[in-house]
Amino acid sequence: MRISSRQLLDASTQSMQRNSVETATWQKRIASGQRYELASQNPAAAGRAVTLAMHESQIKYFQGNQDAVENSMQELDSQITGIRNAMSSLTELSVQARNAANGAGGLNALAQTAAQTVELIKSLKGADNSMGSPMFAETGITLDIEPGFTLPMNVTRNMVFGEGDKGNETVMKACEDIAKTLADGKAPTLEQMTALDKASATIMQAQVKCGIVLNQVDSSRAVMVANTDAIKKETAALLGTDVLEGSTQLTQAQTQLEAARNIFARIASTGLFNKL
Amino acid sequence: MGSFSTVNTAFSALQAAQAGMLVTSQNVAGARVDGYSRRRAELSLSQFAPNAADTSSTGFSMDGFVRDYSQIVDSQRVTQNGNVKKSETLVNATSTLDALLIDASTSLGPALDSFYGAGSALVRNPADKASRATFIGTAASLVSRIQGMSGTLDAIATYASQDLQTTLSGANRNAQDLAGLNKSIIASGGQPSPDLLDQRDMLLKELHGALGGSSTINPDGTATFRFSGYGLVDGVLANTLKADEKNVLTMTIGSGVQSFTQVVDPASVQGGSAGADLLLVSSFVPGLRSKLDTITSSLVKGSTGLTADKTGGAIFTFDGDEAASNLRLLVKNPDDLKIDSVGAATLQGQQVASSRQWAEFVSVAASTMSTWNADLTADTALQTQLQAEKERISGVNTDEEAANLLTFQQLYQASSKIMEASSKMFDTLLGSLR
Repeated sequence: MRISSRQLLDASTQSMQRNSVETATWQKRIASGQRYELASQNPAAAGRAVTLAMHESQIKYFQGNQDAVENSMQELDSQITGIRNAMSSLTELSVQARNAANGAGGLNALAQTAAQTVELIKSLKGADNSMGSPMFAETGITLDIEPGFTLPMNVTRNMVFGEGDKGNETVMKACEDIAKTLADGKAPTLEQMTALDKASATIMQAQVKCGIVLNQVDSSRAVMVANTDAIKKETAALLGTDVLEGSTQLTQAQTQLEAARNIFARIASTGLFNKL
Repeated sequence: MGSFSTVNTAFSALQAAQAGMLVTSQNVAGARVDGYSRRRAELSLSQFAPNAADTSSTGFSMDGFVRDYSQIVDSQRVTQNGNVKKSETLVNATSTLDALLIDASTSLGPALDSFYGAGSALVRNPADKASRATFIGTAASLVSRIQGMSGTLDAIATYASQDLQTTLSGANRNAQDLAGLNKSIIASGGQPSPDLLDQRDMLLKELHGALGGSSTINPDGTATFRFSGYGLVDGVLANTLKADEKNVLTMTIGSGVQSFTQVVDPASVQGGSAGADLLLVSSFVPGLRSKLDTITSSLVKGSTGLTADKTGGAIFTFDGDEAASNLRLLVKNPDDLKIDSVGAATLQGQQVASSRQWAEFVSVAASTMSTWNADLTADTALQTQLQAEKERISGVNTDEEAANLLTFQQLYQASSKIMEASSKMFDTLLGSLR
């Protein structure tokens, strides 16, 4: 079999080129951590990467909503606790007022305390949340916290304070009736105290609902964390450089490059013409 | 037996040695020249050699310089050049797009995710000024990224059109040169020099690389090159190719008043750089542009769920048919954006559809480019094998030439000695007669 001088040198040159490219490629892959520089190197992976990135973005959206729901519910829980404490005070005042030992002066003092407590409840009712919106909104807002699953971000005014127009809800009416009766120098009636108990139960139901929502957020959070881990794992397996493999390939390419250079140097320096 | 026959025979050997050394020097000079085919001096025993003193003596004559060459191998090699050039052109033209699709700083995917992510913040708190400003910012980045991607597609189409013009210009020049070469081959009377044949093969290789096509080597050594069913070079005649601004190819056949122009069917242009350029401008780029326009149109339509004071509903718009290249953001000031939680949630719900469309764009483009890369690898490997086979037959081995040089040198020296010895014998004879 015959071989030309050009074939000898071209084979070495091509080997040097090939191994130089391999060396540079694996250096870049190890440095960047990215397995692919071009989409055409793995079209399926490139397409899948887009979908995975979108899922990751959606998870961030859900996690943001979970945080918003959690913060909102915690604020509401705290606010409702304040309202319940105030209503407990009103209940105590009512019981004290029904004690026959109170004189006009005693009832007057109780009336003043009751009026202040009702003002406190009104203040807590009309407060804004950390985002500057009314804490007890007119309408409910729901947020997606998982694909296909929503939770309320707030509790409405009517849900907490019962039915009725603004300022005239059943809870506020019960509290104001107690305060007015005391202000009139009388003890609250049994019906009024029963209404106050019902109002307290309404407030408590709203608080229980906040607690349920917070529990559901915790469960969803665990699901989203698991999903995030799965996505990151798949993304790394699909697109990330295996450092061990990269190091091995880089070493191999460098060794072959050095060998090609040595062979070229040896071939280029020999020849029958040199010996004549 | 004549004494002159010894001298003449030695003289013919001298000429043979000189011819051998000449061809050796040619081979060494052409060893690294692309397209050079190794030659050898063809010697033969000849009773009728012009240098023989009488017909009973043995003389040698130079029949000529023979080119070591395989028609089959070279025909395959020049044809394969068309496939290699086509694959090379396709890969080179789309290399930028290939890198952009997977680079997070240029790909459309991250810009879409950022845009929808900013929209999701508005679902929770639509009145927050910082969130609104971020949303407008990501919308502007998205517009810029879409326009950039559209610009990349336009650049591929522009490159392909310009490359087509350059390719055709070069092909026309090579066709003219080949026709001229055919004329010289005909004029050589059936014994064309190896240089002419090497040049012929080089021109055929260039034409195949440019246009694909098919070629034939005629019995008289001339070459015919056919393109899209027509003869671009036929004997001493060369026709001309042109492409207009819409990349419609035409061939002008003949010259002067008898010429006529024929439209070339683009489907018949399959090989060479021209085949690649036409594939890019007629199929690849329009297909991707259509997908990009669909993504953009969906985005614009989806943005009508957001309310904005001055535009009546949309925050994006475009003029004309080409959505991607003409996309504009209508709302610049966050205060002009009127959006509520419901509108933001509606926008957020479109993220999956947008992402799916972009994933399809990436998959289609990447799959096509992956196929072209694989084709280039396979075509180049075959080209390398054919080139190696050609080198085996036609390539120069300098060690071989060094050995030949030594052989011819010794032949020259030995023949000189014979002539010297014959001359001394003759002088002795003359001396004895005095």
